[in-house]
Amino acid sequence: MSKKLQSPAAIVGVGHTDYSMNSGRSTLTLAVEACRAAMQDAGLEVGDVDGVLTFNTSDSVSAEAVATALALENVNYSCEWYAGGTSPAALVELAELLVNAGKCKSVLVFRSMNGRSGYRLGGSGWDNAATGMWQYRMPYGYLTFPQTMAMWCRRHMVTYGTTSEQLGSIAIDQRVKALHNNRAMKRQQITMDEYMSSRMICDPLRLFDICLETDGACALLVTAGDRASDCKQPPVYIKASAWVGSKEVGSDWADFFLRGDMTENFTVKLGKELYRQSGLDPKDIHVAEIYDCFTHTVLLGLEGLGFCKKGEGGPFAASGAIGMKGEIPTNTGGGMLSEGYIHGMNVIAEAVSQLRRECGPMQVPGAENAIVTSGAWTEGSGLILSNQKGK
Amino acid sequence: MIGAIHPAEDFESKPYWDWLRKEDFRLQKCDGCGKFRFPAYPSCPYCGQTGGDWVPLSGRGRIYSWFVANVTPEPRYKEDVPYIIANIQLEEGPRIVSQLVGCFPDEVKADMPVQGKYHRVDDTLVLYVFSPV
Repeated sequence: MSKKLQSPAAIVGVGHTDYSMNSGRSTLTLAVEACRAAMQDAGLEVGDVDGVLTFNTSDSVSAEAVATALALENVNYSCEWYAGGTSPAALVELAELLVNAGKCKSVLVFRSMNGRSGYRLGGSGWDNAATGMWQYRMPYGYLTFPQTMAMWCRRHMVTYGTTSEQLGSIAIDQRVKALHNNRAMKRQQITMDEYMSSRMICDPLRLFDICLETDGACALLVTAGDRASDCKQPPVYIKASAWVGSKEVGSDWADFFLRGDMTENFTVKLGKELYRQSGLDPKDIHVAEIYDCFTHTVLLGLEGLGFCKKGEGGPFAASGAIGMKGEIPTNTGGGMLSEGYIHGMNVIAEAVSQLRRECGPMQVPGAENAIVTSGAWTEGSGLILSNQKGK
Repeated sequence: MIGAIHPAEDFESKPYWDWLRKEDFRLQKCDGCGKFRFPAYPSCPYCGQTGGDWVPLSGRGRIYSWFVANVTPEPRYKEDVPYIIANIQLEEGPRIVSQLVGCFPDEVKADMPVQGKYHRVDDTLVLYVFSPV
């Protein structure tokens, strides 16, 4: 759709709160802070913004409350999805559709959570009710998301010989990138020995394979292409956007019972669709921001998006290919393994920063096109972003 | 302790748990395409046909994947760690997840043959666990 328009929709504003283990404030206050920062970044006023989108896991504030607190003058669209990490890029896609269709002028997309001090996914703060698909796994003690990824990871190891050291190389590399990121919660560097001796949580996954439980909020501001060039920051255009699922996708986050092949995730289908829409291919992509709830998700993304062959994600990552001087610099701000886990919204924000070329020592020189993913398993979403309006 | 969390049985799943309480491991089998399915759905996820009888299975299968729970956030399972959770390819087609008992974590191998057996937790819950053959 956007390709037929004169100029594609663009992300023109980014806002972050600080990322911490204890924010000391509500998800509403965090959301308002991040959204205001995104509006200021773009140079847009309350009269310019008329859409608010968010997602949550019953752990956050409504879009309406944030629109009210921001004193938006006119709200033409608002929604909150009950969903997980599959959502951030999909909500940017929805914002893109809204501005391209003329339903909204500019749309805020945010995620706000007290993921450490409040509702911890798989930890305290939720009721552990074995409802829906959880009823088939929780009685046996199959309880958490790291355990879910451990199940997928093991099959990849069995099938392709992927090793713990290869997963470790991802954790270590992203920590190097976090060193110059003032938002990053973890900047202390780790060695392979430290990785290997870190606490085993759900063998084959260790502590350093798992992202950081985080308090904070991140917001993006999307506007129509014809308005984007009037904003304060250089526009980051949405070249391609997609949500992908598959047949027998399951019923909810807990349901992979029908999944035949756990050695690849949604990114296989996602990559094909994003490259089709944009006319680009993997060698045209300068930066990859891959949803990294776990190290193994990065590996699956590298394979699925075509940066290496299926099964070769481990050796590819360990070769240095994802480093700043590698073939495809990946998760350049340290990602959710080191910066913090704002459920994938900050993963998109990092791509925007790269394309505005504001990343200092971790800037990919000459970066024009970035690919972003949201999600880990059977379904998810993604974007190709660019600082170039045309092809 | 395994079974400390009880399933919140619902309209679709109640027959599954009812059969297990009778120590009878059954899944729905599609009248149309003949495929077994897990978990319970009102219609076949492979061909879309509504319905399907609950038919007994052999309980034989192979390990597709597994992990070891070295820690747990749930206090009621702490005494069990480390325990093994496996994704099992059943002989009749569907996959199921369960706890693997009667073997140590370093003994598990991919494609290892396993057999299901009933584990009575209490009057209201019977689970179906697996052991190496």
